[in-house]
Amino acid sequence: MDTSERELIIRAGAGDLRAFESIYQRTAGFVYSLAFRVTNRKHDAEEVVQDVFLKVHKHLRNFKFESSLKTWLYRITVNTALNTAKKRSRVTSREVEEIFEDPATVTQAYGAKGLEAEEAEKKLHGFLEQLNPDQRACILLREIEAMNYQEIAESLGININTVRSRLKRAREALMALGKKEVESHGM
Amino acid sequence: MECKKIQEWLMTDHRDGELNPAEGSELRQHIEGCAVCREFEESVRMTVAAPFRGLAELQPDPVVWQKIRGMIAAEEDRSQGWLRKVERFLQPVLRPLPVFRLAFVVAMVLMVVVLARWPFGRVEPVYAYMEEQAVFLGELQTGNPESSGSDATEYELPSAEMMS
Repeated sequence: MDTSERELIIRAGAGDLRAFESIYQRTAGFVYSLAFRVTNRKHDAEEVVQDVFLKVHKHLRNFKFESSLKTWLYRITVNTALNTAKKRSRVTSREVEEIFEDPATVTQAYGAKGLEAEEAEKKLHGFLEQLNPDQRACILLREIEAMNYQEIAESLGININTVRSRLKRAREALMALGKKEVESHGM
Repeated sequence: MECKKIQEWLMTDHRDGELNPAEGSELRQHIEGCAVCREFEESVRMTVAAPFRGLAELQPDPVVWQKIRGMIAAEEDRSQGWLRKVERFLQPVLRPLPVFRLAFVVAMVLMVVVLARWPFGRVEPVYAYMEEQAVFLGELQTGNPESSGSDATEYELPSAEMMS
């Protein structure tokens, strides 16, 4: 953690809203990306971002600098997103149909990658739909955030064997999907 | 059985760099001699990472920050409102109105004046009496009733008759 980030955290913890806004600007992108991919819904992801930053604002003064701010944010984000996704998964399939969104409408801010990133996001969205929220969280932390098993286990509060089995199931689903795509193109 | 374990490693620990060196060499040895597992490895390599390629970091709508800021402000108002209620409740105790403060100061001054005067009013006759007694005792020691100008003559010693 660099000095400026540490100072920002201290100032924000003391109630400086501008410092807190700087932290938000630096971290909102990965919080939102992770939240969107775990929940697979724009509206839910925005609610997760709000919840996460309100929790951070409330507890920042007690931040002990034992881990990085990013690690702390991952933990809060992934657990808040998982709770939201699990609540959402309890609604009926009809309701799900009504709130379904095209991932292309999620944001215009795909950065310099533009269309390519938008296409990749659509593909990922389709794949993540096949998984349950726990598997989604594991595979995202591994493939996108490049966490090792220990870090994933700590972030999610589960043991390493559970991380391994969730990753295995997620990848099996992915391979089955790939096989199906190959077959449909072949026909 | 061996292929099942190797394929599980290919999908998890091997792919994620979690195999120890001994397991790694066991996996490589097996793959060299097993066409099925070689094909499986290729399939994992091609499909498992594919959905995560070319992604960009997404950005939330700017309105999300506006909402967060609004909620923080509302929360601070709420907590300050609570503090203000407590402050109002305790105001008469912590910060009395000027008229009460003035009355308090006047009462204190009066009390100090009264307490200061009270002992001196009584002390004066005591000192006078003590002075008189000191003179009298002095005369008794010298045995000179004239020097006192004196009331010694006024004192009548009891007669012998009376004493008997």
